[in-house]
Amino acid sequence: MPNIKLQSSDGETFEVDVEIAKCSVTIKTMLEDLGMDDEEEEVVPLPNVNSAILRKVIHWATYHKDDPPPPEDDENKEKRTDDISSWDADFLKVDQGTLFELILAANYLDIKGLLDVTCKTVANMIKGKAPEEIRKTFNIKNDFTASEEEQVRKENEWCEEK
Amino acid sequence: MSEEAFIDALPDEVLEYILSLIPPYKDLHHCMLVSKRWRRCVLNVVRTKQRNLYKAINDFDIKWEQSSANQSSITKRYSHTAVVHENSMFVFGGCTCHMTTFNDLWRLDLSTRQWVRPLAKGTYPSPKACSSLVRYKDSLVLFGGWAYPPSYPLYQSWHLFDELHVYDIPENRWRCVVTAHTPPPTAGHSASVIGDWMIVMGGLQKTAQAVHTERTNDVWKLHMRDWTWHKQPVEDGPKPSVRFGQTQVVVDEKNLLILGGSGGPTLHYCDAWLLNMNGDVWKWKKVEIEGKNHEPRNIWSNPGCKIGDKVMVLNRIRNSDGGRPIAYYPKTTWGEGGGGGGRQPAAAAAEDRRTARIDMAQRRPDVDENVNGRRGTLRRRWAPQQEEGEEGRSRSSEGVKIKGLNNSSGMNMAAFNGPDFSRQQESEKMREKRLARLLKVEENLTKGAYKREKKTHYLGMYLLDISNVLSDRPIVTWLPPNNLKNGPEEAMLYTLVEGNSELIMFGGIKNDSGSLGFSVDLSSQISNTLHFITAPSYVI
Repeated sequence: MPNIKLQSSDGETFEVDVEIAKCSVTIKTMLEDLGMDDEEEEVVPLPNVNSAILRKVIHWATYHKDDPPPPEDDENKEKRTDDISSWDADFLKVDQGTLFELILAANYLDIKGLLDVTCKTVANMIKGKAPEEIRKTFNIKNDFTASEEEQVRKENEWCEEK
Repeated sequence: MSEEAFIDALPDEVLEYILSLIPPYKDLHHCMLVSKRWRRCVLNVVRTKQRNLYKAINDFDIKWEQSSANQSSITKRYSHTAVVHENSMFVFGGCTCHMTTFNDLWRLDLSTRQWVRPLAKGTYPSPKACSSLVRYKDSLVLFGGWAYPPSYPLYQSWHLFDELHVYDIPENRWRCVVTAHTPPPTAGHSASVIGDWMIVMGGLQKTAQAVHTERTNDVWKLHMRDWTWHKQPVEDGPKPSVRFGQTQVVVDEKNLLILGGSGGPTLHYCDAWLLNMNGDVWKWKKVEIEGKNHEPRNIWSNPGCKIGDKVMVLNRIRNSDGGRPIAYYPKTTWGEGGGGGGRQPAAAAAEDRRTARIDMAQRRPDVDENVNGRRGTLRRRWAPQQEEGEEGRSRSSEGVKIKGLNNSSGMNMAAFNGPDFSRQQESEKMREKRLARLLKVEENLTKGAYKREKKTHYLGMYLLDISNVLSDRPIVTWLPPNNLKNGPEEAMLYTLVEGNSELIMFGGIKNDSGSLGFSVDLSSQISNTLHFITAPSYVI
């Protein structure tokens, strides 16, 4: 299997199997568009991902390299947030900073599986919490005035757009 | 923690994707209160989800999900009532085939999909089915209904109720409201809330002097601030015929739409009427219906649900509808509960079960798994109704076979005994011939059974476009259905209500047996499964 070199934002280079790297749609398109494959000494620069995160992403992609591709039509795929595999759950036992950087990297590299599982992890952190708890958990500043907040609280018809 | 990556560093589309994974009820409402950005994103998510659902319904591209089998559910029932309020779906009453009606109130937490039984204080309503339950402010208003008659004295007619109860949700208390002037005891009526009024139409009624119940087309309204009933005068002229079980839809503040209903055992309506509520005397207008060839067969026991500018009715998918090929085999058939818990792919499991069933049928024709609790736990001796004839016949063929076997062993002994041997042999030949013929019959019967088995019907959507119902010439249109056979098996007398970006179907009874009212055990025909209709989801 040919390898490919990926360079993180802080200059570190990772040598990865092309097939693994191609789980990132961004890299795959890059290789196809630029005809970069099969050339030995090519280095793909990834200026938006630092080495720590890139290492984790490669770790994830290597573990999942044999996963079946996501089904085209989602007819049977249930959108649940409790179907995170135990390997992924362990993999994502990281601090929030890393988690969000992984999301950003997955979004930038366009890795659906990783984006999906990281977002589900965040969703699970949100579920069942009161607004104040959510703010505290994620260190979000409340930019509502007291009266605005009261008004939003009363927006009972928020989900009805009839 | 790394230096800068906070949740606010995520681009809007990622935050919105995360929020779209949150159940669109209480939890999502909480997210809206977090910050201005979150509120904006939540509203986007809600709008998108709603739009997706409407689009999915219009395209007949819906996704059916059902509550997982290992999740505990409440008692199986049909003819109950259900209403959604904020984070909850409330279910009241209903009945089983055991001559029993319920007066329990349940709350389904829509975020967690868990059933909760609020043990309410106050005065409980009577156990009943076919009541109406509507929400008014923070209360539920329950009116009317029926119950099986007491078993003694015999031959009494159904018991109808004129009870009016209010359930205060925050207080968790039932209150019986006594009014001076009230409609007669009523069941199977339709009810809607408009402003402070509850509008009730039709149903089965039993007036004070009457011996029998009668259908009606009367309109009553209840003022829910001072709890007074008024019989609503309507203009003379064409009006819907007397009926019960109709679907009633609020078109706007001043207009109600009545759809279908039943006028008697063989009289099921598919018509539509608009009730204009302007002024002191209201006016009925008959609504013209287009796309008659796409209309569902049954709008009296299968409730309609308004969704956007459409009314959705679930009904058997007809072959003439040009349905698409079967996409996948439903994971769980009725009442099957936890069996097999997803160890192998659902389709394969179903197929296995099916072939196993055929084997069984061939080996022992009278011990059809269907009868012996493939669908339930209780042993049912006789298949109801039309199957009974054939059951009986195959049963007797088994009987003959057994007799034949007995005789053949008797014959062996006779052979040793000598004298009557040849005559015995003669009759044995006859018997064998007959037996062969019977076996053939039996084979045909099992083939027939297989065919019947294959004829399972599934529920699909029928959509009525009501966007032109308020024009000068009111008109509604049944859209050509294009259903995937991915819904639950055909049923009736379930509830279908709209939640947030989903529709929720609960309970009901299978209607292939046509044996409602028989006192055989039909618990396997009744459901306590929750089905959710949503738009297919896509990862961003």
